[in-house]
Amino acid sequence: MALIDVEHLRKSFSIAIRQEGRLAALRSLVRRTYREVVAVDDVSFAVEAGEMVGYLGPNGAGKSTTMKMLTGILVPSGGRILVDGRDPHRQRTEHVRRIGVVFGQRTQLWWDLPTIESFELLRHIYQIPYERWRSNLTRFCDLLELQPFLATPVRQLSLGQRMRADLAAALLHDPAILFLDEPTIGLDVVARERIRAFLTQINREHGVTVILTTHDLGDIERLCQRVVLIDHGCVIYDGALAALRERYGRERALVVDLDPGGMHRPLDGLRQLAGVVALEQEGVRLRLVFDRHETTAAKVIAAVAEQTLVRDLTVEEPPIEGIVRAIYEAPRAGL
Amino acid sequence: MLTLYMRLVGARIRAQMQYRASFIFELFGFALVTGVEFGVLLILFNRFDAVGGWSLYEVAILYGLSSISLSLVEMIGRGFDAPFERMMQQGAFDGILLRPWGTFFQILASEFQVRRLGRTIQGFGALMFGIAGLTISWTSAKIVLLVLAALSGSLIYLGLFVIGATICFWTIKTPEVLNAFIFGGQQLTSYPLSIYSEAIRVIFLSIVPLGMAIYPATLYLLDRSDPHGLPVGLAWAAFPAALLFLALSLAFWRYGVSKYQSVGS
Repeated sequence: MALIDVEHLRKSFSIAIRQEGRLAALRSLVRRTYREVVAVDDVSFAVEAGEMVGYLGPNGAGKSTTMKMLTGILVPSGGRILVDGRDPHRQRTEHVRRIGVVFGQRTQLWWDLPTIESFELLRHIYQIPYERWRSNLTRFCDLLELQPFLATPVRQLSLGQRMRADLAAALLHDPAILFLDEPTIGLDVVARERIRAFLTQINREHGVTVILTTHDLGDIERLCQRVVLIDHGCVIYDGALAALRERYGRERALVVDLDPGGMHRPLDGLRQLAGVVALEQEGVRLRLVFDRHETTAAKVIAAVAEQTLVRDLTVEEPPIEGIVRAIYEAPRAGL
Repeated sequence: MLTLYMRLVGARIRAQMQYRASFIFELFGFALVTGVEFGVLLILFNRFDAVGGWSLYEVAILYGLSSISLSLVEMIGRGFDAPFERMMQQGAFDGILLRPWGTFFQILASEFQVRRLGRTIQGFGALMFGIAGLTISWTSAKIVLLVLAALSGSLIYLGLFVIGATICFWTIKTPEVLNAFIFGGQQLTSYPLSIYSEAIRVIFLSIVPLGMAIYPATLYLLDRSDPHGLPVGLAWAAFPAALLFLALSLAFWRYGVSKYQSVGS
């Protein structure tokens, strides 16, 4: 059986509706009207041990709500979750012993105490044998370079340092699964890269299964072989990132550097070329976006060469942003 | 579990000590505020010889017990008060649910306010003041009841804090009415229950059994009887009643936790 098994998961919240008119506040005390908001409508997927899965979707799609149900924080309104054979909410204490969680916006560390003290408290909370704890801590200190700020109170850490400390904290008790909600949010390029390298390592070398949500498309490209895309509380794609790119990444861009000394005919005619979606010019650089289902790179290059003198050219792969946008914008029936 | 509690509370106290100046200021602040409270009692008895037939020393015993029992809970149970509201507003309760321990235990261990010791000391002083001013014929039963009275009060106050916190699962904020019971209750039980109207006596002997915790035990201690015919033997029922009250509030807490909605991220 899969390590994580989610079937027809659903979560709705009832939200009190503010009443209009005079004495509304008073009336709402007596009788409140509720509106049902469905955060997760129908989500099913399974994750095998050792996978690294990106759980993606636009804001409000239900990503965080799903994560909170998977980690046992929220009780599902319907459907079923089994993580390592357990119901995350009903068997909460056994369940959380086996998982590590990092929610990027919030720290799980003791705010006013030196970082090392949080790690020590976690040793007692999870009843980690001292030797095991010691060797894990040494390894994380090494991989995440925690040593310089172990004695610094958490509130004084930079965002990048805090995230590294939070990652170490989530892994000290050797969890089988790591849940990450926006692990690189707000970090600079170097800090992001360090965290990505670390995640790759614990996944590959230690077999930790990783589920992450992110808005950072670099994270997805770098970390996730498989992505689960959700929108409006439903799964709209589940599969390999490469296949996703193949299916929805119809657009390619041809970038041409024109020869400044060459003769140029007016380039506007290229816009009318079959399959060309957009044309941008900036100085001697020309950017042509085309649909590879309607034309080929060769045809576009030939057309450009006919009009002007080309010095250099490259064909760009579709950026993941564009793919995700295309999926979000596509009508749901078509998927 | 106890060692983990000590460790977590120790961490909390060390965190408070990070702001040493504010800590010392608050410790003195609380001692002063509660001192003023007792001052008011002294002023009152300067004008009147007795309240409901009770002398200053007798009321001081009620006041002392009431103050001690509340102060103990303010010291150990404030995790269910304002810090819990903050936790709910910021969604930090998520973190509690991610740890392999019971939620009640973790919230209890999340806060420890040493500065509340100010009230404990003051309450103890008032109790001693009362005992010294009276001639009490001591028996072992009286000593046991005295301790149980303070403990029962504490358990009920803790239950009230837990109920207030549980309501946060729906409203995010603890309703003020809970404070009316907690701090109003402390004021109320500082005086003999017999002076209040029947409605108040009934409420504080049944729904919120604070009246059962301290008043009957003090009657027993002072060999007095209640003018309304309240049996003095009720003093022995206080502790079981307090345990029942806390157990019910814990059941309510568990129900509240299952309704936790977290916050949007």
